[in-house]
Amino acid sequence: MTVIGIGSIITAVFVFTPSLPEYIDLVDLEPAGAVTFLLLGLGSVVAGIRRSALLSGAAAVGFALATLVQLAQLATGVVLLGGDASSLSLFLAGAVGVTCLLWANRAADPDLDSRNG
Amino acid sequence: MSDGAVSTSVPIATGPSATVQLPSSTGAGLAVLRIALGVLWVQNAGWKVPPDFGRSGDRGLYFWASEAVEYPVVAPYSWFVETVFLPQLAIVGWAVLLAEVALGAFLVLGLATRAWAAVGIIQTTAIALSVLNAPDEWHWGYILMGVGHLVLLLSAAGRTWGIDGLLRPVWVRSPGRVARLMTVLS
Repeated sequence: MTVIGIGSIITAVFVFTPSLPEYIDLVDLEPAGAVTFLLLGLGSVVAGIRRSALLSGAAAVGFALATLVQLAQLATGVVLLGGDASSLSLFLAGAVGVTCLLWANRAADPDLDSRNG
Repeated sequence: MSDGAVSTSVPIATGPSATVQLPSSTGAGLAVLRIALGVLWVQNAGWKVPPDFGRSGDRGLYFWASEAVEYPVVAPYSWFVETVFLPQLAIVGWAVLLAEVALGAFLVLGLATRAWAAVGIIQTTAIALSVLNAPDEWHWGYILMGVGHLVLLLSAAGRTWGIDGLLRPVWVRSPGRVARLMTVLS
């Protein structure tokens, strides 16, 4: 969870790279998308450190919503978070990754919910 | 060389069932390859832009797919691109976009890695059949892409630094069909 969170925070850095060569500017990101990656990444890091099922669930829902918003943006052309399919791919990775880790933690420790609320 | 002069701690393979101890860095190397190929798809998904995927400006996915017609590699594939792919680009383009979005996401995560490595080989083959004979193309780029995905497929590269490594023990213990399927795909 923490690793995915750190990855999400690092992704936000790509908001500063559009003027750099293509081999550095790997992900197309606008400020709104970068803030989303940053906030969801921070949430995932805290969820991982505190082993909180509630925070993990919130992060998973956040990434899933961002994925849907990005998909809607591509389908309609209405700019919401900015960016393109590269940021969609990483929002999807966050949603699937955090959900899988939440599920794995619950499978390993069924009492996780009752302890962490 | 006299008897006993050579001493080694590495088990030597003596038959098909013999195991060889690999360096611990092997898993890390495979994880780096998996993540790098995942990022390759993440970036390349970015220039598939709906709704017309570049048709209006003769660029993007439309331009590159058209190379299969202008510079054919295999005649049946050129026919397929000309008669099916390009006329239905608004639909097929979405399939390509979603496949590459998912390839990037799942390879970066290391989830169902073997399955997505197989998808990566198929997609690499389709790209190569489109552009291999186009001017200024470096054929080794596509060969290396294909080989990279083949290595991920054969080595189950999601089991190191990947979600496959975390979930596989759960899938192996579980009697469900989905778990059994995921055991194969990971």
